[in-house]
Amino acid sequence: MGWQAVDWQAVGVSIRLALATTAILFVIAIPLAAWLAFSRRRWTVIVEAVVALPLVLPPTVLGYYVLVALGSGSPFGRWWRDTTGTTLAFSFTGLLIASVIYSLPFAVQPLLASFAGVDGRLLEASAVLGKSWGQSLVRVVLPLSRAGLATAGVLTFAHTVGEFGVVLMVGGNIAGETRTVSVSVYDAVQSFDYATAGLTSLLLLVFSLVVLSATYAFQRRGSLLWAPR
Amino acid sequence: MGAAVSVGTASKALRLDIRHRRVRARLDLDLEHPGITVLFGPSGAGKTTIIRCLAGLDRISSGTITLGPTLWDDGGRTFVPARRRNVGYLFQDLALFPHLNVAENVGYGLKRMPRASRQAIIDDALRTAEVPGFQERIVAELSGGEAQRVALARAIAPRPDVLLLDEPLAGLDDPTRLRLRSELRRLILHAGIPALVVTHDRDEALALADQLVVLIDGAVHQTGPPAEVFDRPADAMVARVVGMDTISPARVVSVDRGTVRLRVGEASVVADLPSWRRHPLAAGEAVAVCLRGGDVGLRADPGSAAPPDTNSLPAVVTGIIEEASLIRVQVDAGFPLVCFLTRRELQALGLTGGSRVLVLVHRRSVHLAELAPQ
Repeated sequence: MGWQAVDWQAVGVSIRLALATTAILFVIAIPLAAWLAFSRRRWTVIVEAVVALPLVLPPTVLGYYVLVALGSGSPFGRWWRDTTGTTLAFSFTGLLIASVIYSLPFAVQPLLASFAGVDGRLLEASAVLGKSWGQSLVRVVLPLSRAGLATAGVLTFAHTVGEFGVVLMVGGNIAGETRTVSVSVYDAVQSFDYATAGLTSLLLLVFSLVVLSATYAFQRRGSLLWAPR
Repeated sequence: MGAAVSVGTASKALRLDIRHRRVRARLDLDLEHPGITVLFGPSGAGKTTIIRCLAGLDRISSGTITLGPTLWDDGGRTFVPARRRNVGYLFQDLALFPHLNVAENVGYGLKRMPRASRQAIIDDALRTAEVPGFQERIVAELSGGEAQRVALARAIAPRPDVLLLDEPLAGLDDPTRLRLRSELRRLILHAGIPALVVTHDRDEALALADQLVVLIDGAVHQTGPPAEVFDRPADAMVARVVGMDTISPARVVSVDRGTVRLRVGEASVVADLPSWRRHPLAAGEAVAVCLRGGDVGLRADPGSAAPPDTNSLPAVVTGIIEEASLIRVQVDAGFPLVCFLTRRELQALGLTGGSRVLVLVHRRSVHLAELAPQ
């Protein structure tokens, strides 16, 4: 009994899932956070609340809705089945979609805080100098939000690695496809294999600690990097 | 209120006629000829609101802003965003991009072009702003005056149709502001771009302006060359913002052959008949008498004879206030009046509170303004 007992295949699935989720979330969360940070429309609060929902909803509730939405009973699930010939529920792709929704606040909130901290004058200066919204985002907001970008990436990755309820609801427990490292800990405990569960848990604990330390270090350095004059 | 300001009748004119927040103003800027128009008024008059609307940073509630034949903003459907207006804007806090060096800041507003031409434009703008060789400098390491020049270079580099400067010297420390005040006019004229400068500072307005527009409480009160506005404020409110030290309501007693006799409080004062007034003065009319402290003389001997064409008014000293360079002496000459003395003059006159003096004011120095805006 040792490190070889750890379900490395599940670790692989978790890392693949976390990387893909983080990549997709960057594409979604950056424009979304920018819109939330700079739009003066009143209903941004509602969008903000929807984005934050995964923080407070039990993962089983969220998982249930995602499962129903992805299943062949829903229009989206049917369209997917007719187009691709596969089903989303209990597949890696379905799991990925669920992860993206579940981790959305972990990407959006740090970006939102970071974008909101960018001096609005700089955006006005950029606009007067002929730059569009998107150009200002890329050339001014993002370079000045490096700490927020790093925090968002790290938190999204870590949160995806650690998710359990949603994974079980949407992905089930298929080796090599949807069994993630957190599910493997649950499996080990279910089969009274406490040694493997302990090693895997230790692995996740150390990983999480490293990730959080790195995040706080980024944030601290970030606040000093472009100190206002 | 809201008198029209015509700085020219060129085809390429920037016209603003807006009602936005507290501002009800009309303003015409001729963009054919480089020159500096100063929008001058006390804090809260709406100056910044106007240039923000001109730049497209704020949308107006109603009215119109046009450049030549193009409508920029009509308070409704039509709104040309800031990025399409080709204006240069110098922010009060400069708003230089902290993550870019000086050359990248100055080149930020340039369109896509070959590297060499881009470099040439940046070098040229920095030379015009008199900070050549600053290309690689870090923004955070610039002094206040240097940052100001870099921000100016960034604003002029894309060759805008008009430069808008919001309190350009307000953020600087005293010595830098004094130095840059005299240089800024030369830099802007050298750039050859018509400019509209917003300021609440009299010295700045005088040092920069070809044309002065006085904005008070959101309305244009007077416009003209700075010397004219400062010497001949149109109404009592303008007189206050251009720093007339004594502004007192008065009534015309009689008008004859080039002079006006007035009743000011308890006193009788004679003024030269202003030739530039829009309508002749009539007996019984209410006006504001305006005097600069520096034009008022004091004599310690109340019985002494006055020079010709000079009002001599017996008065009592009511207050002596030490100011930075001069001493402000308040007297009661039948109406409250202020004059300025040097410390030596005060000592020579031996004045204290309650001293009896003779106030001397030449007829030519008595300026008559409207009591209320016309």
